[in-house]
Amino acid sequence: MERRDFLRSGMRGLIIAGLTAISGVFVYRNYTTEETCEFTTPCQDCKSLKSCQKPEGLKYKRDQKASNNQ
Amino acid sequence: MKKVLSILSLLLLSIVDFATFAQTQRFPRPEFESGYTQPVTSMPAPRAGIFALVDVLLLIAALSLITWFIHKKRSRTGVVITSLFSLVYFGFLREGCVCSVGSVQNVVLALFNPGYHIPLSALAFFVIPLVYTLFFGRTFCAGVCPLGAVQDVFLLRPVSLKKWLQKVLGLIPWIYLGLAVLYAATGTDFIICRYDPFVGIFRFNATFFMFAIGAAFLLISVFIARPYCRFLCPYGVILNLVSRVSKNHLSITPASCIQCKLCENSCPIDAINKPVEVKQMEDKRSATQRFILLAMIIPALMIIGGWVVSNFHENLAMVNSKVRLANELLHFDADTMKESLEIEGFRTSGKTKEELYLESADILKQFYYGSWILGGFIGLVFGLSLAGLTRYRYREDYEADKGECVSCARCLKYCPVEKA
Repeated sequence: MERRDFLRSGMRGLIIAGLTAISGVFVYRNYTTEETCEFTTPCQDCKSLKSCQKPEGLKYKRDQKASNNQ
Repeated sequence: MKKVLSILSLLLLSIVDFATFAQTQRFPRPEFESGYTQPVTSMPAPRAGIFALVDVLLLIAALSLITWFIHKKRSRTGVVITSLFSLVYFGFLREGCVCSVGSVQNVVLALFNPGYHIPLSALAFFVIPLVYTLFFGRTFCAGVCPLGAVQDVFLLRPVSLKKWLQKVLGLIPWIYLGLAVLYAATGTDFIICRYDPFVGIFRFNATFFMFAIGAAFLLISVFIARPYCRFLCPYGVILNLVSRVSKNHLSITPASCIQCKLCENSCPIDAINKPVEVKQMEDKRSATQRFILLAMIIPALMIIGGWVVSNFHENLAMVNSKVRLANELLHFDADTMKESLEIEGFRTSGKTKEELYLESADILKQFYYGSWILGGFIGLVFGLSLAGLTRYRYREDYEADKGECVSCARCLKYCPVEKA
């Protein structure tokens, strides 16, 4: 194997490992912790929110309704 | 004829699908003003989850298909068909959301804010194209990204830009990526989504300003190939880096290059590296000296960049709604000024001014450190770009630039060499 190829395959391995680790942490966190982040700007400012059927949009609307009812 | 028929049938199918989708979206669940709350259904809402899964499966299918078209079939027509599908489905039907370009911000927010639960579809849209790029080059950019596809459709008379201009404009996506990371990390805003020039067009609801910008990009796309992808896209920057170490990348010639030069000017984004002549090889020593000198300048550029940008951290932080509100409250005089909606909302929220000022000070501090890092990053990019100009690489054949090439497969038909 050439030096360049060796470095490239090493980098590929590192990137794959990094992506797997990050994905694993995020998925684990999603299922084991309570969501506390209040960041809602994308949905809040979206003009299509009223008719939105996307998971994030539905969740935002549900949360908004719940906080309004409190 | 067969190809034309297949493209037409795909378009017809997409239009029919679009009409069906539009009908299902016409009647959103009514929201009552009387305070009545709708009962929770005994079955979970299946459409949303299934849609997210379908999106991810279609992303994988489209990526696999286009990779097969590029690497095995070496077919530009296949790339165009996949582009049209992506444009219709990921663009117009899914209204450009979730998209991989914007998902960068979800990932950054999740990294910096442990309380944020990243939607799995957003995570998949970030990771999957990167994995494909790592093994096959930027096949995602070739025709799966709806933003790239819409520009590619408009490219009719490609004009080549000067190299120096491409280098200078090529720095913008790095700055944009840095800003997007800063704003997402501080939980301020998703600026990539907010200023996406094509999303408003996909949703048919753009403001006049955003529509004008989108239209301008499409108009420029007629002559300059993929202006957004090359000179603005922050995800493209990441894909560019990852693609440089890709295992398999599109090769212009399927066997040995015969140096016929037919492909030389075939790339609309100038991503074909020409062979390096022998006389240029003699300059290697001076080029190396220049490279070392420039590499020493990089730390200085990083410090200067960090200092300059950190001086603007308060201006950058004004995008944050809490900082803006705190600033407004600080300068608000109840006797002479009319109360804005934001101040009225804050007054009724029951929060004290002190709490808001403390939160605002915290955010400002984050912006101060963030702007130092952003400036340092910009300095690093400038320095490396300068150093890269002197990089020497011996090359015998015409090769696709692994970082810049978006695998659009235009160059393939110029090569007269048949597959061995």
